[in-house]
Amino acid sequence: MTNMNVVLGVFLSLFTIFAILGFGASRWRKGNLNNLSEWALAGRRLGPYLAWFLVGGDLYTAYTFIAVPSAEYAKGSIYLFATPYVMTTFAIAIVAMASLWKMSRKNNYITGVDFVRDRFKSRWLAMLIAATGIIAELPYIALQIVGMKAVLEIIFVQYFSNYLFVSEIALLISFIVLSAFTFWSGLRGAALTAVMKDAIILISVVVVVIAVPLSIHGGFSTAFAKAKAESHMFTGVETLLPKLTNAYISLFILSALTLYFYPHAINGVLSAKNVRTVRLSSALLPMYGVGLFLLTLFGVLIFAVPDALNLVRTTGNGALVVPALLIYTMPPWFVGFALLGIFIGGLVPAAVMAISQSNLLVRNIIKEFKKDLKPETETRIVKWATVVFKFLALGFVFALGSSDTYAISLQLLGGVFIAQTLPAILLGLYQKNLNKNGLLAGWFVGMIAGIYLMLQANHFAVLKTALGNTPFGLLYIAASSLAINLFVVYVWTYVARIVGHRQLPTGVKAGE
Amino acid sequence: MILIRYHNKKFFTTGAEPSILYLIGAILFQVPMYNRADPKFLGLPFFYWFQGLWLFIATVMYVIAVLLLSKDDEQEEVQK
Repeated sequence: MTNMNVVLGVFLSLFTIFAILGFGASRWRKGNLNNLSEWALAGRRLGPYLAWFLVGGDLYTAYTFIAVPSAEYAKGSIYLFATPYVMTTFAIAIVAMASLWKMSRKNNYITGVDFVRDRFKSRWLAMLIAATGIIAELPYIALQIVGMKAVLEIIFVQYFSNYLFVSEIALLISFIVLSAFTFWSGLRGAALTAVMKDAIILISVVVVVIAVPLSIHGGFSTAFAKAKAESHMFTGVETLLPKLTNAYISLFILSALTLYFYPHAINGVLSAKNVRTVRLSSALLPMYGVGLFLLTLFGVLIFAVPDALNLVRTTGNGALVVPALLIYTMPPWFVGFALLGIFIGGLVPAAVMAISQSNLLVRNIIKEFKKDLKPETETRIVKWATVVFKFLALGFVFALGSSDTYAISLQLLGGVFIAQTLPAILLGLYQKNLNKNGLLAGWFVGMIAGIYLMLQANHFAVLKTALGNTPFGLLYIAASSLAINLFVVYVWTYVARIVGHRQLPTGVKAGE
Repeated sequence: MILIRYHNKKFFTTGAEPSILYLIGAILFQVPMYNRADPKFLGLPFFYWFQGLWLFIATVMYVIAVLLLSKDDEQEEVQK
């Protein structure tokens, strides 16, 4: 057992430095605060290598540190899908995001929703896409809160004996810190702390993924042998159950397709300096996937460290896999450092997500109705909206009764929502003759199907899985609901053309 | 070059043929091909290390693809 006082000391002092930087940011150059939404984009005119560093740091969120290892620990090899997922997603970025970037630069779009509005000349479709983005961020933020909570829990559990009490206090503290951080320092705080955050996170990842496996006697062979004997990974330990092949493919393809269409991701891409930056930084990003790949293996490695395994088993919380492994294998000062990395790795992305939601709300929904919004009012709405959205995200944690061990399902739920926007945003890039009412109808049907299938798959209870039964075996529900959505879009477009109500696109044309 | 640009059909509005990108997708799709435990490497089952290895291969291939695409982007700029 490591010396917890040292861990806590390092954690708190680093967090203090981080907080001074982050919260102090609101006082720095006060004058610019009015142009919050413009600032969001202008601040990121980066070259390919700096973009690579910053975007790479952004990839390591609670999803990587907490959710994926936890799911691997509980369910097994199917959650290795995260590795092909990151590989595929950057291929999509190189092609599709570069197209979107070109169109956006030409027509001055700032959000993906701007593109949809102009392409299909439909206010309602655009607002629906904006609303979908806002909703989809909520479970993703909830996942970050779960990650922050896991870090505090592992520290507190050493000091207090009452486990449930500890969890709730940890959740409350995570939530307050997150709300305060976003409210007071906003994107500026997130950007000012980005370099410190990314440096801490990347150092933690590199050291952790190398040092922890080396410190374990017998390394991966022992871990896999023990996991095979002791675990209940129903999807397989060393290999994937053959009947889950389609599930595996649907998980990585749909996750890859949806990642870049979250509001917080799309804005980052559109703000790049030129197409080459978009492409080159994406091309280099799979290297960061190596960290994600090795962190996934922590879900297996924990079986080789009995003390850490015991802690996870007694608390019944798989989210503690990585923190527990750290505590039992690393020197205390480094544990404190790495735990802080995981903590702010949830905090900063959650803040960025909440701000992108609020910007979308103001720019693509409220301004549709009230064109003459004063910049001060706009900023005020954005600030308060971030607080409201975080309450809603917290609501997600409670309402869905999500289990921390299966936190990855929160991100997968967000993917089900984002998938319904793909026909308009992604297909819209390449197909000019989709019927806008068909897209609206497809969205409604796909959304209802997606939500229903999610509820059904989880037996209308705690959110644990995002896989549903289909004639093709188990599939990620984003895939099945998107298929339904696309079916409606194409049938509608086809029928509308036959009966002569064909909607000629008046917006930008493909190829421009 | 021949491997990468095996046809002239234009799929995308970018005016480029990033076939190399589809190649990686096509290999990752063949789950039954790499869904096996042996041979092991550093104690990792084949299923795991194969996909980990592809992260490196993918990076190299992506960079090649992007450098080829950049030429097209530049030509596009010139044509304007």
